[in-house]
Amino acid sequence: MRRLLFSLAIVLLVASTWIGLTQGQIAPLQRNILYAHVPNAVCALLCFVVLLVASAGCLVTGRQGWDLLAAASAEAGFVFATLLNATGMLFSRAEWNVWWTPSPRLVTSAILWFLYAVYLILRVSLPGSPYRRARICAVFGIIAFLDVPLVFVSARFIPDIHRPSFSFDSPWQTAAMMLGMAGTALLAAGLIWLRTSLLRDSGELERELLQ
Amino acid sequence: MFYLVSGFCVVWVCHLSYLFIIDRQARQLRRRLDARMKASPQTT
Repeated sequence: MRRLLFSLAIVLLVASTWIGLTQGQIAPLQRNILYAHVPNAVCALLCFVVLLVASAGCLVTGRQGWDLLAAASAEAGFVFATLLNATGMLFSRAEWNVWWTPSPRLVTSAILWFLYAVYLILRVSLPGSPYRRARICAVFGIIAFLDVPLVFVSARFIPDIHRPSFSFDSPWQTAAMMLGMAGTALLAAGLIWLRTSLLRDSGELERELLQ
Repeated sequence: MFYLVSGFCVVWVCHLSYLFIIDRQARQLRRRLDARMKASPQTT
């Protein structure tokens, strides 16, 4: 099942890249980075939504499964946030001739990356019982989510060099972007699923070894 | 062109390497769990 999910995700991503760079080219050429940048940005934000739900579930029910889901989504989200900022910097250099500029959208996106990094550092460095660690990380996950609406609205309400949205000229461009979104979302779902089961199995093995 | 190719390369390399790393970890863990199951069949 997982193999099928990952295969489908890769097929969709290859199709998106192929269509984007052949039929649906955006002029000038460097703007085609959007086909890689936007899906990663959306998935970085979606992973934070999963992190919020899992953190709330962990606080309410106290079940370990929610904590593992939160950890897995934070890890996957960190990868997507890294790619969001990396592709954003390449786009910025090509389009505006600067690697980074303190615009509201870019600053909030950088903060998003740091919040994921802090969450992951907290998970491995907090002393005490796993239960205490899970609760502290859940509280941090919920508070850190406040940055997500800021990323979303920053370019819409504050004057920004970053565009709030992008309109496409041809159906090929829309198709390439939608395929990229679907492929990246499937990849994110598969990665979170695989990582959650990996964390659960390694926890079980550790407990068995301790007995 | 350089920035476009770099952007796509970074994305593909990161996605695939993260996927392969956690897939490999999952396989290794599965092997360890199977080995333990075989070593102590009464626990199943």
